[in-house]
Amino acid sequence: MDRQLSRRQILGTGLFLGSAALLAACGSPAPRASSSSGKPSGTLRMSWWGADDRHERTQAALAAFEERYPGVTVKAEFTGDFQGYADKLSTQIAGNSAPDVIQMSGQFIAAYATRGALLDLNQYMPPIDVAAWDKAAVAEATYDDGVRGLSVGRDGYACFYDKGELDALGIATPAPDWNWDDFESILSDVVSAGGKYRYGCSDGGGRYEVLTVFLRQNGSDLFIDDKPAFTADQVADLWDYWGGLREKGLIVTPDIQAAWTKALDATPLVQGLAAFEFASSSTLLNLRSLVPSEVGINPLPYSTDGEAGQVVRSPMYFSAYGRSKNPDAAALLIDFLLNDPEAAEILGTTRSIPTSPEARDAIADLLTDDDKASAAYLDVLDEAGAVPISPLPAAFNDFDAALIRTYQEVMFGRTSSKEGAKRLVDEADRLFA
Amino acid sequence: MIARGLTAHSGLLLFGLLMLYPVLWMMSSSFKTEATIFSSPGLWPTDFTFDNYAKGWSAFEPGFGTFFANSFLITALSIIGNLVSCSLAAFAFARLEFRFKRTLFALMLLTIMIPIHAIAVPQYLLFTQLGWVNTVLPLVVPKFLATDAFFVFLMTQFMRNLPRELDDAAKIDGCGFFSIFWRIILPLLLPAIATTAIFTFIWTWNDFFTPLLYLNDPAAYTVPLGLRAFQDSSGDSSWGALFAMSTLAIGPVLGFFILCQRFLINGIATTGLKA
Amino acid sequence: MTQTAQAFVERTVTTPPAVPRSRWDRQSRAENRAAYLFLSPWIIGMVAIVAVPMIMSLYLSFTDYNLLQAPEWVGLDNYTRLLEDPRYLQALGVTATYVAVSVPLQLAFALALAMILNRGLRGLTFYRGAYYLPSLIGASVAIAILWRNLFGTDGLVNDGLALFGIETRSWISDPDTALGTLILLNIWTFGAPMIIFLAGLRQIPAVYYEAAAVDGAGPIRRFVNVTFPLLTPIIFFNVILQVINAFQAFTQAFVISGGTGGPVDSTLIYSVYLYSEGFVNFRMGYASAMAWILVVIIAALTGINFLLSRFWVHYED
Repeated sequence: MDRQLSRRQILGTGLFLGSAALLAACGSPAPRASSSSGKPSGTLRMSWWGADDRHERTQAALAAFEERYPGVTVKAEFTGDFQGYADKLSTQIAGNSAPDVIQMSGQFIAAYATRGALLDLNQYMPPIDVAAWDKAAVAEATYDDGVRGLSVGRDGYACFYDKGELDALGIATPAPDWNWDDFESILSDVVSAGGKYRYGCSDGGGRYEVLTVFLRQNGSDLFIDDKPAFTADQVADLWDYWGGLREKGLIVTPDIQAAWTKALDATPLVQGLAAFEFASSSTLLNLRSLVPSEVGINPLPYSTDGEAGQVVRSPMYFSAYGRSKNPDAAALLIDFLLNDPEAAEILGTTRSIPTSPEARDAIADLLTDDDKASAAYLDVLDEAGAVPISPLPAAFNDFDAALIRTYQEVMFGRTSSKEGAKRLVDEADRLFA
Repeated sequence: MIARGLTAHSGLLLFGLLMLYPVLWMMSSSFKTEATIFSSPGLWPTDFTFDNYAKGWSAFEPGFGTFFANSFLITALSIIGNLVSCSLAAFAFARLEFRFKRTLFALMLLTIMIPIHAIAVPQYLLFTQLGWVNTVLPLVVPKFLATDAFFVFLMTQFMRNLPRELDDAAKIDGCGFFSIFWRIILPLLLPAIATTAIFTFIWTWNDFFTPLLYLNDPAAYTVPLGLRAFQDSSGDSSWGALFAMSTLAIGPVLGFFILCQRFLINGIATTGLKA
Repeated sequence: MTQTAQAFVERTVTTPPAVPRSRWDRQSRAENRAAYLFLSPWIIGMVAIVAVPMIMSLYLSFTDYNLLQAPEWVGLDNYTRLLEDPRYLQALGVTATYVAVSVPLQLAFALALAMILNRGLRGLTFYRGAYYLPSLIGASVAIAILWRNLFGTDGLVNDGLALFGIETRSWISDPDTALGTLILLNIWTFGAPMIIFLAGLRQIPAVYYEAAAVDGAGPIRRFVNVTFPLLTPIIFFNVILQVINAFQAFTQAFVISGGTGGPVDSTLIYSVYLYSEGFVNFRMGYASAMAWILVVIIAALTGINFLLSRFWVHYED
């Protein structure tokens, strides 16, 4: 018994050392392998998150890729929510076994890229062909002098509203270049008309996108060079504006707003509580399936002196794993999924309106009405001079959580807007130091 | 007497409905169109449809038929593993004297106390080292090695509740330790065995995090992985299909529970024990 | 800390045979060997699968580890930072309330219903199933929506309260009541301890009740003299495990608050904070330190429980 035990102990120690060595082994990505010529071959793994529509389309696109390049097999790994996906991805990276091609979030790509987990795609052009791309779009996710991901789709931040209800109440739908005063008067029309909605809008004070628009309209921005670029006074001004709307009963109460957990189904518009809602333009399709009447889309209100300050972003990037054993084939797959017309037709707008001009052209005739509305909305934002806010800096998620938390304290009257804003700025300085 | 029975029943029934409301709501939502799921949360669907089931069952490759089969396999193996390994260990802790018993028992309890999220990554590194990732081994082998200390402790408590005279009498009859375990203790342990089987079924069947980490190939996905794949809360979610498949997923668990609960309760125990 | 737990276990678990050594030596050696044979699967699992990750996580708690790069040794930094982290202290307070309120209530419910359902009432299969169902779905993704339907602005609870003219609000997202709804949810899923109680009641030999009936004992005396004493090992088990479970509660709070522990950190229970530090904010070293402090807290409480068990838990052996 004793001898056996000690053998097991040795086995245990061996496993421990082995696993510990694995821990230590993770680090900087593998250097670029000598560019191999000839036919691409081997097995690739690709992972993404999303719902069933995206799974079905991506699986079909991967089958088309395998048909095009018979030497390559692609294994799919997919899951629903981003958070579960991220848990798995981080764990895989910790174990040096992440997939070769990775769908990355615009909110998190910096966290992975600055820690050496992602390949520099600059060195794989070709096979990735970005000649037709806008230069700024290619360089969006540049970290440590390398392109760590390429934007898959474009998305604009938008103000949605129940158009059917506004029509029924005889309230004019907002103009694209409305301002915050117009916004308030429409909300007060909705509330005083006493229709289906108790409130005009959800509370925008805790959303970083609304904060960004507000800052841009006032000559600043949320982040400049990955550092916070706002003052406590600016934040307090925004919060006071929303506080005013709340006092007039035009927006939802704090307890209703606090039930919003970033999930679309938890928004006051879907719950039938408020007529206006802020969300990404790519959620239009889903909103239209969740709200029984017609849903309209509009830019966020401009400043009273006509500054647009709108926000566009890339919700997702395609990246390659830094330690991929087959980076050439991975790059080939990324190019196929981003630029190839056949892939574009299969994928449609399941990752929002494609960033790649080739893909956008390829699907121009296939767009549904909802897609067309999203695409048209992006054009409106382009005309308004919207600048991407993605990708966001590495500690962004911490900041976003702090913003929501602090604003909740202000909403519930546990602290003043001035005091809360000051704390938020201190927190931001600490996070992005 | 009848009046008392009625009162008891109406009380139990009312309470039962209160408990059941959310489940009923989910089931009724699985027959609603997506547009009405959130906007009209009443229990009875106004626009009855089976589309969610058709859509959910055939959504993305390889489909829920495979996911159910995978879940059944993993669950069945886990139940066998837990029943065998945990009852063996529990017998030692409950009925035998041996060196380091207290230390080992305390160590066993200690392993339940560490939160799963803190050991998930080290465990993953270990299984990577063993080459077990993307197989069912990390989900099943630990069950055969009694790593669910919860059940060891549970069975220990139930065994300790059996009179010691049983063992002594068996010893006098010339029974070895294994005979005592197999012929005397296990038959009397039926309630605890049923409990272990039920809990292992439910916890394995519903487990999301472990399969998420270890199963890469969709052909190996379990039901919870399939269910979550309908839901992307940042964008598009197929709520109808999610509720439809969730309703189907409750079926086997409920069925197994009803099957096993006979062993939990058949009136007062009739095990014929004489203390 | 574990040592104290161990000491209590020592006193309660073992009853050394009071027999002269020489006569029993061979016998006890055989028993020792048999015991380790019975334990062998568990020992292999312990050494090969459980111990390695636990030691590694203990090691990680002394490092700065972001999951993506190699860990860096920082000594006690994580532990000292925890003591100054206001959110951590908030999580400790929230968790203490959660455990202290939900565990006794949940166990009382479970025991009461197990007693009712253990009698020969008709249709009991249905009730058992009905009462157990919530525990089957308590951890599913749908629970957030279900709970919102009950306690949200337009939820069932508000519909009921409105009948009495009571002011309504969104109970799940008001910082004053959010934790309360979470505790209710935990109590609502009392199925697991209820099943264990039922199994325990099933094991009580009928002769005891027959004897009590001969003595003319009423239901209360039967409970006090027969049911309760014979059920104490099972009650003890449920207390230990429900305390551990409540300290580690995660899914419900996570799903309902969208992973934030909000509003205003009012539902920031321990595991939610641990998870978000480790996996969302890439501070796995910090999260590991949190995990090991939790182990110490739970081990201490379990140790106290074992100590107290000497005064009220009765074993047959």
